[in-house]
Amino acid sequence: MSSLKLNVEALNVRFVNGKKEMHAVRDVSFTLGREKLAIVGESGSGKSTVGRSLLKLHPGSTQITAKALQFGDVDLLSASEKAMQKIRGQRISMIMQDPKYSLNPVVKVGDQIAEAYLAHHKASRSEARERVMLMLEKVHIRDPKRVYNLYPHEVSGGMGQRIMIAMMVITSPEVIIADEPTSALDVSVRQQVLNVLEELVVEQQMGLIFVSHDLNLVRNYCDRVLVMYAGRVVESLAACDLQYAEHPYTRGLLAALPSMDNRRPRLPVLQRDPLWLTC
Amino acid sequence: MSMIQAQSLNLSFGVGATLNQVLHDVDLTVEDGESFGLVGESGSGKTTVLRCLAGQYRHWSGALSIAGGALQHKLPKEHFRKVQMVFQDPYGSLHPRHTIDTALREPLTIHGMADRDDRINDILVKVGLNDSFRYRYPHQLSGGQRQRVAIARALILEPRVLLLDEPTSALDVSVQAEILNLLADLRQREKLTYLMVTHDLGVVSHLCDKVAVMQQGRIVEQLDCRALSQDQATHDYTRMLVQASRDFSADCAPAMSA
Amino acid sequence: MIANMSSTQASAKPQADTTPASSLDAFYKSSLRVLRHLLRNPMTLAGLLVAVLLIVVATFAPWIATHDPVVQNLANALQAPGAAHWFGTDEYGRDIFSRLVYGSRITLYIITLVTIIVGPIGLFIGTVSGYYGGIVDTVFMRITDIFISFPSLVLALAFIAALGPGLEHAVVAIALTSWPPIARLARAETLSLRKADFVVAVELQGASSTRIILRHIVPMCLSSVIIRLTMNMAGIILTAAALGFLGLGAQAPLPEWGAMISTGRRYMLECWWLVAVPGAAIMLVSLAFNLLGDGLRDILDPRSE
Repeated sequence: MSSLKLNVEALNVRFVNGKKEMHAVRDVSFTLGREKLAIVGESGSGKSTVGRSLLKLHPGSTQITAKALQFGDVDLLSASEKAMQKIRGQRISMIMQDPKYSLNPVVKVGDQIAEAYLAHHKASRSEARERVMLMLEKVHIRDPKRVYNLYPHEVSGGMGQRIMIAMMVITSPEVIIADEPTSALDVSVRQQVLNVLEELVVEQQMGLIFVSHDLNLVRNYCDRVLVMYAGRVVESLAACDLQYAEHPYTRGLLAALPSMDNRRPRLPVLQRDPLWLTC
Repeated sequence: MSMIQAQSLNLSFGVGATLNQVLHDVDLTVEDGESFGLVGESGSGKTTVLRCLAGQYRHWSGALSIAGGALQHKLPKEHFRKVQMVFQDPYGSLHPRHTIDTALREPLTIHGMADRDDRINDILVKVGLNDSFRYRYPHQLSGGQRQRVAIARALILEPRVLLLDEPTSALDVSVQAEILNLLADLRQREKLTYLMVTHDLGVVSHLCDKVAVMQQGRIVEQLDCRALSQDQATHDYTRMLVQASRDFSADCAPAMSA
Repeated sequence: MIANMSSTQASAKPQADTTPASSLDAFYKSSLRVLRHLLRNPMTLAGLLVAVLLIVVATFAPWIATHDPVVQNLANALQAPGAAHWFGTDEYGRDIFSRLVYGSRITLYIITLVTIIVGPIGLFIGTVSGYYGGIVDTVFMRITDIFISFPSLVLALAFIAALGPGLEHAVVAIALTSWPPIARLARAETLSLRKADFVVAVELQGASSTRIILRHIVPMCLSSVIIRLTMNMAGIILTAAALGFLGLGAQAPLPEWGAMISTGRRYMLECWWLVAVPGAAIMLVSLAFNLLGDGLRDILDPRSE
């Protein structure tokens, strides 16, 4: 079986609200194999929209069109809602930014992970519980029995995010979409969470789409980077080649980052060229 | 005479069983015209220090002084002309139902300052906006513009000290660069003293001369920003922060800079 | 929002309208925007039209009414609706259409007066409670609890029993039972606003509590309070009608709609128009205010960021 998991060609997403239409994603194309692909951009660039469109998480009025939106043997574009439900959480999972908001506050975290498992696998409760314990250990949570019975408000940000990862990976998906998974976390905790994610991705040979606004973070963590601006992909390159980026927007973004080791009296301000909106 | 001084600053919230000491013996000195950074993670107490100096929390113990005047627990109006604060969230720090003009006029009215229209126009220009913004509402402005208005509002009272609470962490990278440049310019032109809280070492190195590292309510280390990037930090926690910051920024090859 | 634009560009976002030139202009433009949204929803539009109709009818009553509402004409009693009397006549021969028209004045009078009393009182108690907290909050809220624990009609009856029947007394009684929900609403909003950055910012400018409550907190509470007041109007009309029905509100011969139903009860089975017409009017106006309140909520709430 080919290692190509996802093939997206000319993806367009339009949000329709009454008479108003917003073209959020314009002609985005990319492929995803067993690798870590980053989609970076600023707010309004459409990066989160791309991720959510793959799982068709937008309201019904949204228009998603593409030349190809192929996930293995499934055509996501024409897939029915029922087919999508089988894919979400099972074959393609999504990790969101803030565990405070993405975990159900009134259910124990262990039960939530078990629920994620039971939604896609027929198993007894105790079997599911066992699997949850194993998963919690895999995400380096040291006391899984105790943590199983905690509520989301009782766990720290880093642990909550690892629980979210456990919940999303317990079904052994083929692709994970991580939408700013470490943006709400402290710096010291970030590395831990990223390591956990990387271990799982490598071990289960998954494809990872890492959506972020942090160029510096993805250049070390991911294999390839897609830079988005105003709904378009303006540059696509290997993460290690980021310093050789050619598009003025990418170069401008990199230059505008304040750096501890490269102190400059003034930060170069990004000059937006209207031509970028048409490329 | 230092511009900002904190000695043995302690602060707790709650009583009895819920007592939570947030600041432990914080000592801090910022000279006139200096730009001082406070870094730390969430729960380190860095924002709390700022809010004590601004006058929001009044039940601290220890000694605080700004521009040579000691802070009492009951603050006179004049205090607010010496020190002002810029908040983190540009979307939350402006009243949604007030126009920019109203937001800028209010502090002038509270302090009975004259020439209001002139002052408003002047300050808008100083922060890189113009008077076409005067009668707009905050929701009609972008994040960067709102933050400029927040800075304008803080500066319209002509304070000596500006307290900055993560002023760019909610902004996009490109907008952050503009605001950081603006802050650097303003500090020079208006001869201000800055105390800035941030979790981003890149930002603190860019804007600040000195930095204090806080962890769980205590200052663990104070050093020059230059020393920070030259790995002269001695405390483990500081070194960890520097390392984490580096790991996420394999730094720009010379081809990128300038 | 698509692509943050550089702040150095003079005109920020492509605005459909030109830059507001003054505070009044800005307020005017944003009010227009609300009105435009209001008019887009057909239900809300219907509610608004009926409300406007009520005001127009009440204002121009002398010109719209075909007969004098109080002059009796026993020879004409209990006439069915027809060419001469559009809604028929009552047991004293008075034209029901004209009584309905003049009755709209009473309805409007009651609604307006109650709203004017209840709005400010509720806002004051709610915001002061929420802002100061502590003992002030406790005292105010316990008083509010006492008022809320009585069903509004029962409380109104108690007040009327103390004050005596009459239209003005009915207004006071209804007002005294309607303010607690507004106070609670205002307090809830104030509690969440107290910690907001923009409130802290103005506190750190040295603003007095009065200024903060009046200029910063009250404007934010206004939307939910207006919505609540609008929806309350339906209840007020019904309570006033109930009081009138019991003979405790507007006294004869005032053409109050509830009182009309009460006196028409006796002849209801043969002369349906005595009861049906004022009843339909009450229902229509209540419904209209409910729809209007609903529409307002859709427009005003999402904007409160």
